[in-house]
Amino acid sequence: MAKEVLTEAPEQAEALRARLSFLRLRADRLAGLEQICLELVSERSLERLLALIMERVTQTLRAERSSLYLVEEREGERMLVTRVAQGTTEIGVAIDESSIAGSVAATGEGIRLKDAYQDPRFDPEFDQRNDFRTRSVLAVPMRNRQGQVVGVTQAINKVGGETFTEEDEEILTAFSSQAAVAIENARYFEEQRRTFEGLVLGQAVAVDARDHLTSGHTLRVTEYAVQTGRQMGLLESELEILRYAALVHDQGKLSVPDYVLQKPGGLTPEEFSLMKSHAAKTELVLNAVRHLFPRRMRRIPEIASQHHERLDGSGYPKGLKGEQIPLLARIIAVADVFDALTSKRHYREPAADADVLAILRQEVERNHLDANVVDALEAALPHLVETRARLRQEEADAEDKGGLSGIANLHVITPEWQEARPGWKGTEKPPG
Amino acid sequence: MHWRMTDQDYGQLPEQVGRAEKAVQRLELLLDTALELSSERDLDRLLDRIWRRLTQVMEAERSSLFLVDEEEGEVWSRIAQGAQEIRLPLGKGIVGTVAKTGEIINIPDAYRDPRFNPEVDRRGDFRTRALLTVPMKDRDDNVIGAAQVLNKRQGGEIFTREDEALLLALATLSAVAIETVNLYQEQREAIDAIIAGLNVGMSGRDPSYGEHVYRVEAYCLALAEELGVPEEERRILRYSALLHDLGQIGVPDSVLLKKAPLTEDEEKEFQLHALKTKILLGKMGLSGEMAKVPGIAPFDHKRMDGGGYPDGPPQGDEIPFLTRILAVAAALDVMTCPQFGQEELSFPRAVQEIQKEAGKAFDAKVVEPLVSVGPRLPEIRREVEASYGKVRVDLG
Repeated sequence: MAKEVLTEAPEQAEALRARLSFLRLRADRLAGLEQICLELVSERSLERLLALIMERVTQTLRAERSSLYLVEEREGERMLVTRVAQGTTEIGVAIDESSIAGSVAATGEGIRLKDAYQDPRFDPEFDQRNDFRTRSVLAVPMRNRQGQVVGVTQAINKVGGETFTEEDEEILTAFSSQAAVAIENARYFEEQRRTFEGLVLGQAVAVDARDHLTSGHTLRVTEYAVQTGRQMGLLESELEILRYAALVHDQGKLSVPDYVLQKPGGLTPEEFSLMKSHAAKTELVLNAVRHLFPRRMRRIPEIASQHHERLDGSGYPKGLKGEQIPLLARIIAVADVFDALTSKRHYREPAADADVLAILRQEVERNHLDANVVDALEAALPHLVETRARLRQEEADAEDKGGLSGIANLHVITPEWQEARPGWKGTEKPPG
Repeated sequence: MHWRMTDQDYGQLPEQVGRAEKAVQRLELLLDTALELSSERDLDRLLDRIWRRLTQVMEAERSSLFLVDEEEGEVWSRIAQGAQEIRLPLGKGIVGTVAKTGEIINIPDAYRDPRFNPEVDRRGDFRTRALLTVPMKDRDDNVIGAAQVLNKRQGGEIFTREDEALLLALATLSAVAIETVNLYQEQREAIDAIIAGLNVGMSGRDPSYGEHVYRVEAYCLALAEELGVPEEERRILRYSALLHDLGQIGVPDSVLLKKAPLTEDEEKEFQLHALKTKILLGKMGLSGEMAKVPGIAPFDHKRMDGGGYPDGPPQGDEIPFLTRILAVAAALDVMTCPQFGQEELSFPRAVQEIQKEAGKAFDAKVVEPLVSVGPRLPEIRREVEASYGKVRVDLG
């Protein structure tokens, strides 16, 4: 039967065979693309995603290397931006016919070159700096779902061939659409993460800034707690919860009256009990919105509000004992005391780290603080000291440059005050 | 890829080519589906897209999609957008079994298989013949649901091995897209929760704060709807309303909590809250759609004809449209629920006062819809206060 077909119509059979091998190759490439696509959309980190895209372009097209340009706004102008490798400075390229990538973005048409050096738009600078020889080039626009050009992908030097084919161009174009969606998704994820961070941090800074002398307290406690937790070998997911809980641990201070927060000198018993009420208030407030948090964050209210509990049950607000207090709350408790003692107060100067450690040990002896946590903090002390210096520097810089941690005292903010800090003007637009 | 052929028999060439054409066509459709699904950011819309794609790509007469609800030990489905939810026990029936064990169940003739429940057909005039159900697995191989297709429209009566592979590939694409959308949803929830916590916390100091903010949010949304503000802009407006008085954190108790009209100095001190809102929001590094909030929220006290506070830009025409909506909404609430012991106005009176300022303090275009929104305001206010009562706490 098979022979019959071949003898009767050899040319037709030949054509069919060619068609079949073309289709098989195409099916292979499409199937590969589908796998890559799954891989791309599962990557949430933009930086890792960009590296992955370049790796897969190089593999799929059998190129020697590849590059990726994204359309971004720099100082009000749209341009193509590329980062050659992690950590390196970015390179900006104008969207016009002065370069290959620029042309692709400007015209929306792909470019295939057999020899880049024959094209006046090719810039040999990269080759010279990296001892590389570019020959064949394939560059295609990266379009989003709305059809807008959001970047350019470029494959360089076809391995085992003179130049990239039309088929290569088609595959790279399809690939680039998938990459564009993955990039937009990773950006959206990152934007939302930054927004959440900003809201939590801003709230923490604003709470601290109601009382000038505790400014920076929340940020320091948060860093100390996370470093202590890391020393104890906590999982990243636990450290994340610890971090957010620490950032909101003094949220209840929002509703402690000014005259208590800002009183110079010691507090009367009545004032002290108002001050102590902040932990219970943190819990009340966060519990009221607990159901709104995604499930994995619903432990935050409990952890945040129990940083003044003591192992022997003499703490507040609930008088919980030992294991009743969650580990993450015990960590925040130690970090909180450590920062209180190492910071200046209305009524005293900061204590030396060695003295503070001795006090923490006494607190362990008295069954107030968790011994394991204090051990971990002591082991991590060099990091804590480094962190403290960095945060102080950042605070000082922010004071000049208008950063978030530069808001030390909300009560002094006036138009004149703002005028006196050049960096504070026109900063409505977030950095980056 | 299961649906690729490896047959070496040249006599089968035309048929092989036909099958290869089909395989390529399906793969192209699969990639197009991947693109469509991964661009969606809303779960309901995503489920609807998946459901349509299942039917289209599989050339089936019907399809359905079920998701696992671990907590309830159930699988659930919303056949089409807006339709009622169906819930089935995990581990029971065809779908429940697939979603629990992760196996593929391919039934050539439903009525000859004891696992099939003919009840499903009896509700309509549909007759199930072939029935293919595959698990939907995420990248870590957890079964998060099941995809099901009923009756082939073309190419035979039963679902083949190639069909199984294709449906599995579709299910995996769907699972990844669902995971992504769930993650976005989580992020949005966390953002909303932290803002709610902030507002409740602020209310612990000044009990009128939270109520004011949530009423202003509701009035803004009512005006925006009337004005035809697009959905994305409405979200920005909503967040701007929720955060527009944040700077009150930095107003001293002696001013903020005063129950009588403010002196001139106190008024000045109070007005600084707008500047503080601007500074605080500006430094949070809010990103994406929220990046616009610092340019909108702090300026509800700016007048269209110049003046108002804080000093500096934006002036007049530079005032963003969303700020103009916020200004009218906030003014409405300040007049009907005054904070410093001023005279309390009824809604019709407040609307009149605002109408007098159309083209002066307020944008006439934003004042216009008050004619139709005005009568609904008391009802909107009651609804807000009822729902706010649920999260409100007494902090003494």
